Amino acid sequence: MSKSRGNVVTPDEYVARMGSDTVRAYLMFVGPWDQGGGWDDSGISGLWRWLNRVWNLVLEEQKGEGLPTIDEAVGIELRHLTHKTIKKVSEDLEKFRFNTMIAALMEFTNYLAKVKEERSVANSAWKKTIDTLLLLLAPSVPHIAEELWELTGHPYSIHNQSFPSWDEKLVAEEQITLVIQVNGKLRDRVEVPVSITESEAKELALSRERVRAHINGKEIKDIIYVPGRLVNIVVK
Amino acid sequence: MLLLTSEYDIRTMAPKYNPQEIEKKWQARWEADHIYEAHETSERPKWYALTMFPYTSGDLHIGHWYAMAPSDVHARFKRMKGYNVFHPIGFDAFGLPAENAAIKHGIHPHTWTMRNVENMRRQLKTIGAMYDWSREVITCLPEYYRWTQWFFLKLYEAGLAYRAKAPANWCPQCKTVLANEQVVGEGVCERCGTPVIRKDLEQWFFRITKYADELLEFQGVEWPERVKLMQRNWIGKSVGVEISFGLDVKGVSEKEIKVFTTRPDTIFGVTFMVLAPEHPLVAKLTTSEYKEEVRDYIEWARGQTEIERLSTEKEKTGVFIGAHVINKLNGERVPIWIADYVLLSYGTGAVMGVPAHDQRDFEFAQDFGLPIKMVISPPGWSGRDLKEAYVEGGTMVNSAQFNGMPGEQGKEAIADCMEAKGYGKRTTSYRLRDWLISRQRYWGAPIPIIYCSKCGIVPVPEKDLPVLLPEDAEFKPTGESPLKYCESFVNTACPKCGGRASRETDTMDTFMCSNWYFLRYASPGYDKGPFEPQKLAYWMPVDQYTGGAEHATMHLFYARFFTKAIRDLGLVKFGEPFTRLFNQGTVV
Repeated sequence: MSKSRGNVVTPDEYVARMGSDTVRAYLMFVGPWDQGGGWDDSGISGLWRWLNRVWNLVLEEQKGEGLPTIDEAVGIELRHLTHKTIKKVSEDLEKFRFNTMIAALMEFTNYLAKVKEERSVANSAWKKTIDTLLLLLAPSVPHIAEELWELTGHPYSIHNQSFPSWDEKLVAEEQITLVIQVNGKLRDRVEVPVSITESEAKELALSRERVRAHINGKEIKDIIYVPGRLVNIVVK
Repeated sequence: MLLLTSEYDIRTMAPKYNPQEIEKKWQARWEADHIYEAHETSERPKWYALTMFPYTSGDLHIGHWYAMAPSDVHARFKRMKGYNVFHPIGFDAFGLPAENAAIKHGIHPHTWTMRNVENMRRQLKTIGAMYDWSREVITCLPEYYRWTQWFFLKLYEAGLAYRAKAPANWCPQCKTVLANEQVVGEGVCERCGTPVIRKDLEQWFFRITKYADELLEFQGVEWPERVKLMQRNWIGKSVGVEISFGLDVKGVSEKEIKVFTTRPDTIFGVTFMVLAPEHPLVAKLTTSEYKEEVRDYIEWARGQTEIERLSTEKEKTGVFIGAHVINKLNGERVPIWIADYVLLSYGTGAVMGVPAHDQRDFEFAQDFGLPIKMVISPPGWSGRDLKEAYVEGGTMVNSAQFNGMPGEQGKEAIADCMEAKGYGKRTTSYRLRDWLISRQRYWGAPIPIIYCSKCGIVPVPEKDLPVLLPEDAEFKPTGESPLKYCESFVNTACPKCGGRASRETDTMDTFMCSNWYFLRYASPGYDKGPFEPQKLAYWMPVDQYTGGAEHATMHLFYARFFTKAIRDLGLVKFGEPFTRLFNQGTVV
């Protein structure tokens, strides 16, 4: 409807070079939709590379020698992250938060790339996850989603499918008990989400009151982190 | 698995991502299969996802993409969530740029516009959106503007369209009248940036002010607070008192001048009155010794734009006209000035000057050495002079029997007193003016009115619609509509008496065309009315509207008025057209 406000970037050119899906994804990613953002050529290249990664993730054969090493824990984590992503994408889409929706999908594909490389989940679980990924992508990048849907053996059309729904129980993160030691002696225990990162775990350990009593005024020589189990602070 | 793509990655034997190939393929397939065509027979709940239709400027720029791609993502999401989604598209195709192109390049506006439609349609298809192209609407085609004219007639029958002589915002560059909303910044034309001047013309208005109070409410709609606030400010409702000042000038029949104020509690602080330079009483009241000065000032003020006149930064100007009014409450004689900061079109065209408690009046009084009389005392006031107006609440002082009263209570007490003595009455004032829809332009929907020297204003009978735009008009930047010089268009027979008559040559503001395009989408081919009632009832109101916030006091405001007006005509059952609204930002 706007007749007068000038815009200089010509989308035709980008569509010809990188495709409509990349332009769509970039426009969603550029900033909160109600605030807009600045067009940036390196920014759109990032989205082009992401869609190429999605393409390869779905279609490329898994590499590596011998039998896959299936890890039960990774399977649980994959299911949790899938449901968490479904929830995040659905809620963001409902509220027009397209930029954080795309960020969540990028994070999800990065994780899937790692899982694929490690060959740590069963084939059936992998296929199910890829189906979900394509359905989550369908509103945003409708062409590549349709193509990959077909190439992975599904009947036409992905756009006549239902959007995935999530299980709130699977979204809630599994909690683990993190043990905190000072010089190998148990000083505290704390419940943390399974996805806690190393730096988050170390920071949390140092902030605990019962731990601080044993490290105050002492020099911290080292902090050892055993994922999912313990943090050991070495002081002198 | 059958692989349709031709290129393979040698390392993995998987096909390479080739968007150019797959995007065209799927767009063609979706179109061939009509998968996005919406039907009214679905078991699913309906979802009307509307994006503001583009103006036919020629090329789809990134701003269009930014409006349309994300709104399509949302519509597609709703579809996958189980809704029967209707996502139509069309073109806002009347307007000045087409005519300017005609003047500049000698190309007919229709040709220019339809060429742009074709190009933009192709570009829109590259978005890969789930538009239902079978419902496309183009506002400049007779099958559409026939009904725009029909709606004009309906509003006319209902007394909501009227003709009046009015000072208009005139753009000397575009040579057309602009609506208040199209005058931007420091009083310049929204389109070309030329300073706007004022000019008196006979024009058509829609009585939008009749709906001022209802437009302040947003019953059952989920809109951004910001847009609601902009519309409320645009309406500018204020509750106050209309006060009569006594006039006793020899040879002048008028015995009072009325002013509107929201601060009756400051009535004892009035030290001057200001009239708009165009106020009809100015000529009658000016005494002979001030005549020349007043005439010069009026002449000068006419060249000022409304925005310049209302600017708080600019230096105050004005002249005394030699006459006085009486402040009836205390019997004081108050000098009458004229100043350009008072507009005839707002309120009564007269204001009471209370310099102690209004900053504009304060600056005016300081510049012209008028007395400043404190009548509302701030808490703990020492009696010293003011450095600026005191506009907050306080206690009434220097106000006779009202002294010591808190201001809020004083407002009511003064209003009661005024009403009891017949000096004034409580009233409500609005900033909102009626909507001026006449445009002295060719490329718009002709206003379906005929002027007959015997019968006066005669609406074109419905059966004679559409009033078609003549194809052979000449495009010259003359300042008057090309239609005016097109005899085959102008000369007609009066529908009432059959005598010689002439057609209205102005066309409608294009915001009238965009008032109802979302209704036409429901049944674009329908020829027995503007829409097929059952289809409209199924889809409307729009569930989610998306577009730019720059339309807050224009399209988004007019469309609400229009919907309420046609609801009162019994044409639709809802009063708000757009249940949810989201305004996207801009990409630069």
